[in-house]
Amino acid sequence: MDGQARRSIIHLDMDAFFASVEQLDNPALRGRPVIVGGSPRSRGVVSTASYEARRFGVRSAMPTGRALALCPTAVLVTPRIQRYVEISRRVRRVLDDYTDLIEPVSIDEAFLDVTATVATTGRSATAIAREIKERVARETGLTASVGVAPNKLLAKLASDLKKPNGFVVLDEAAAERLLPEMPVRQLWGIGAKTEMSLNRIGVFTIGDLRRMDEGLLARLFGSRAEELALLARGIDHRPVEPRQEVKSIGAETTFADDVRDRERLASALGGFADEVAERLREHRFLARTVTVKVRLADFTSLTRSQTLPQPTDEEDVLQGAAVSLLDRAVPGSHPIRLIGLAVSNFLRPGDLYQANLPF
Amino acid sequence: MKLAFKQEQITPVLQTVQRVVSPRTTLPVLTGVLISGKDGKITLSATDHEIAIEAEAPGQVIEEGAVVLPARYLGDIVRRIPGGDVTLETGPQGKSATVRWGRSHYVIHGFSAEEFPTLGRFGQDNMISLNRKELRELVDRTVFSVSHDETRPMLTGALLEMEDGKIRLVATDGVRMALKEGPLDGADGQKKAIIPGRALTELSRTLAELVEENILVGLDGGQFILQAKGIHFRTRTIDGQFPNYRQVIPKDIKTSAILQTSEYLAACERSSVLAQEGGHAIRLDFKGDTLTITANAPEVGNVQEEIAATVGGENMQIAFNVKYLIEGLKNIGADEVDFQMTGPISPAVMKAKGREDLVYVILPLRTV
Repeated sequence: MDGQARRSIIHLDMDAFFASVEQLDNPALRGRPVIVGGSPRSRGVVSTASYEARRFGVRSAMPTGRALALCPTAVLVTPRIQRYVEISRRVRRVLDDYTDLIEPVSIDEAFLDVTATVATTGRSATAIAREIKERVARETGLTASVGVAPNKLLAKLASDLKKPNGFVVLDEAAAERLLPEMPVRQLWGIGAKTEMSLNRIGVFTIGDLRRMDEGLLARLFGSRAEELALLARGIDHRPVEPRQEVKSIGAETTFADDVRDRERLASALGGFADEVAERLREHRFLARTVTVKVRLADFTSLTRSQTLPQPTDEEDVLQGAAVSLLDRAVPGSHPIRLIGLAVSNFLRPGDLYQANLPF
Repeated sequence: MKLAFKQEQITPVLQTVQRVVSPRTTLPVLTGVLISGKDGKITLSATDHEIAIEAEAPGQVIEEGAVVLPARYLGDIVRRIPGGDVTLETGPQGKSATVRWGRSHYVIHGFSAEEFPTLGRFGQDNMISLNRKELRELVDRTVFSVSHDETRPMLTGALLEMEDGKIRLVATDGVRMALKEGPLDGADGQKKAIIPGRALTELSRTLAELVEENILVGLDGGQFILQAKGIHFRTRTIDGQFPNYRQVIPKDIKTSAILQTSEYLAACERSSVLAQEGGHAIRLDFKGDTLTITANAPEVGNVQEEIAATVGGENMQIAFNVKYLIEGLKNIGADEVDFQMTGPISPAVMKAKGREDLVYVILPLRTV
């Protein structure tokens, strides 16, 4: 469809991972609604809810207090990250038997590129994926949802289609039937804030996005417009990147016209904050450092960084820091060509960090 | 000016005053100590703009006058002179002095006394009487928690509060907070100010050197003033609002453990040897009659210590930066410590067992 060699990508996503580990370790919790998260007394939020709890409307990142109000019979369990890391390593050992091209997205999710495995073993990607799913179940006692597709975007959409314990093979033809009706949020890089601004201009589905005027798309997304248009058509060239330790996560855009309007810049930073925060949460990272990058109309480049008092994965904190960094980097109303936001200096699952007094 | 004094009597006074002198200053005369002889009294003074000190030294004024001599040279020389009689006499321009003893003399160049800033009045009205040891206790039990982060100036000092028969000093760096309270007589109304951490460190040393038990303190126009027999100490206070420290003292205690301070401290210090490789993190597990301390340094090894504890309430697992635990335990000043916790990611508090006058709040480490 686009002249590139056809790839076989598998996306594996452990079902309600933290909650399932708790149910595995404690048989009394099986079949019951389980919420893994912080205590409502310390304003904790839900890390993971078991599918029994999700039926009551409990979702990740929801304040635990609200979750317990929705599902009063739920058992609240404090996260045991070290145990989850241990099981995650077991899953990883299974995956290692099939390819070296493994990209862990987070503690409970990974992409595999099995193109070479298919070529050398003669087995189909579907057969390999099914074996991986069965071995993970046997060796950890936990179910995973698996998607098989020609690229990362479609593989992730596929694993998402029949959760939990799903197995979906999505080729281009099937994707073409599904994509136009899917909400834009499903596309890589579109977070809650971007979704809202798209909804405001009447763009709800990926089909709507495809029909958008190219100029308008470019105005809204700058240099990312082209990639987004491809993704909307189910085309995704991003490689599976193994073993590469993520050191920073960022997003940037080059404007079609130079921008002076601070509100427009702040809203661009808001969109990036949204996207970056979502990717932080996917990785289950917290970031300590926020960096804003600016290129002025005269091609002068500037970056400004700030270390946050507390590590975060919240878009509002990132946006606030980014806007004040922009004000420091470029006072007044210089025309700006490119703007970007990145976070770095990560804390990873299981890492400890110092809590602060509320002042 | 001509002064006569005994080496062993002037040396401690000179050392007290000399400490206030900042080695780096934009005003050269402030690298010196002002020595003056007036009305039969020898006075030594120094200031760094923030802190000012004035102390009387025993000796004889033969001829009145004043001179500023560089603190470093003067201090190092006088300290090394053998005990006994010494004279100090200013030169013809009043910018140098000759120090004489035995058959030796040293000429030291300095500054004319007119160049030295006027220290002004060390307040006299509305001073409050305090016990020297009590005040020193307030300072020493809290000053280590003062912040060194200049971006939050109000935390670089400790809050002094005097009200309702209580004097209180509170210091915090945003991660832990130390509060010490003592009795106070004869103060009416409420007075408070933030006293810079450096001034408190200086104050503590000065208090340690005093003999007189009764001292006077006062707060007045952006200054904290201390007077004792023969000594005046003054520091600028920090403008700004100190955070509401009362709101962070935990009340809803879930677990309370009584431990031998020395045993707990020794275990923390030992485990910190390895814990420093892992961001100073140690994990505490309170259960039944035992506290289990674990720490993990991936490259080096791991720690497991068990110590006796009387644990009341729920079992608790909690992680801390061991440095903050050690500092708190070192300053608790009691054989037994009551370690109270409100939850694995909520503030904990240390108190001397059965006492409420010393409170050390410490925030745990959280897991990502």
